[in-house]
Amino acid sequence: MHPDIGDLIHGIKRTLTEEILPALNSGFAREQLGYTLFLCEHMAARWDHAHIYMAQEHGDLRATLAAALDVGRRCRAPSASLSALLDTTAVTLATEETGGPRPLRALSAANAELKAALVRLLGACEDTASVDQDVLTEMRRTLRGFMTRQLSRDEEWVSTAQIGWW
Amino acid sequence: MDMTEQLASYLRAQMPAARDVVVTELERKSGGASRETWAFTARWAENGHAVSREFILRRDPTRSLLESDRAREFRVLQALYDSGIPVPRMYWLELEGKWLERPFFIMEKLPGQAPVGTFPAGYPPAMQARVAEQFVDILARIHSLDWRAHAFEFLGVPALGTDTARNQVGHWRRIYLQECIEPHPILEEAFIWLSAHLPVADRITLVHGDYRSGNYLFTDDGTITAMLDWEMVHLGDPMEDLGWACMKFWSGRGLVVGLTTRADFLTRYTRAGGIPVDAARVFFYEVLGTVKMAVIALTGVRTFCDGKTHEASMPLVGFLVPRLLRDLMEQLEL
Repeated sequence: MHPDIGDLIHGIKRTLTEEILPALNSGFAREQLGYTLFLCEHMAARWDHAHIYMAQEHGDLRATLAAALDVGRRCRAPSASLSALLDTTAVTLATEETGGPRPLRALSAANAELKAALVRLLGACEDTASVDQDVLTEMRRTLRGFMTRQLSRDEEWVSTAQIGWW
Repeated sequence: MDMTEQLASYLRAQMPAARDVVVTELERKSGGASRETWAFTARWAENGHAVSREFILRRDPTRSLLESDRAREFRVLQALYDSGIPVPRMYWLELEGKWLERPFFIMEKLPGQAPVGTFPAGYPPAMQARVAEQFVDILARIHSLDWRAHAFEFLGVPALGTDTARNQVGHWRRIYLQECIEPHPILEEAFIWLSAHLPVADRITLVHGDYRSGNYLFTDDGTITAMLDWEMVHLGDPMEDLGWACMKFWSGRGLVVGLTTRADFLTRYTRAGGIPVDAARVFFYEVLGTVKMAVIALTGVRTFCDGKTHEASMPLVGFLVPRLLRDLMEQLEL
């Protein structure tokens, strides 16, 4: 259907650039408009990839948590808290909706929940009293693998322009 | 009443001897993540003489990247004026919204430009070196200041040992938990690392808290005229300012805050102030600084997503988060 979101963003950008910007006298207002145009540029470049990006993150989170669970189950003497955490994570993965398309924000919320589960497992890897240090090290490595891949995706996502601090 | 007239009314109330007060050239300036910055000129007659003076107004925004106490900053700057540390003269502090809707303070406008990132091109290397020397020397002076003689105890005096680092980590962790929209595993890892590596402070000094490029003014003859942005000032470990300034995030062309090499920066600092540099503590505060910047950026994102700001740069600071997380991955070898 047209105008699609990309058409609309380009239209907004043209109006701001051609009609609004020349009418502004204040340096501060022009600067604010510059930021807004930058955001339009980013949205135009990314809007139709947003769902793919989020779905990739989701798939990676699920795969990482499943792999971390497999590793964690190999603990010979897991603490009660680690056992409970592994069980909770397994339940989260089993009950989390996977079938059918979802609105972007629902997918984003699901990813946030899975990231929280990942963070809890990361914390459990710090149990220095555990006799299963080798297993915890492998679990940490598995979880860090997601962090590395996700960072690369995030860098790609914001690569529409280089910006700096004030 | 427009803001120019509001300001003129305010000045009339503050300067009863002034006659015919007018405010002109009121202009909002860019930057300033935590407060709005406005420049203006005021003219008045006093004792038969015409006076014209330039001021800077810093007003609380509707919502900030950094919630800071403007009274604290005002008080510190007032005490530092004439201390040998270049700061603007502070004039008035208003904590109520009676005059300009929100709290604000007014200070002297000093000459100079604030370089961002690298030192600006077009200046001779000797001048860059001169600015670099002053940048380091002023920091050494801040850390050598007798903070008790200036009655800075109101900033909160941490104990020697790990207290100051623990306080800082706890403070930024609380902000992170409060402001982040979703968990950030790399930041969580960094907090774990920080808590496990708290350094021992062997002295407590005044800490600027945001000592970097963008926060000093220099003139064309290579003189630093002011150190600005004292919102994060506190008492703590002097290595904190060194770590913050040495962060990769502030570096330009591989130089500390775009001015000088890391080795020169640290060597000159020790020479200027006599405080030995502890590399491990500096590194700890570099990591903490990177975490802080990521948390500040996430606060901007949250503020924008919650609709609490009109400032169009707020969502953009979120674009900096991956760069900061990459720095953390490298620092901590994750």
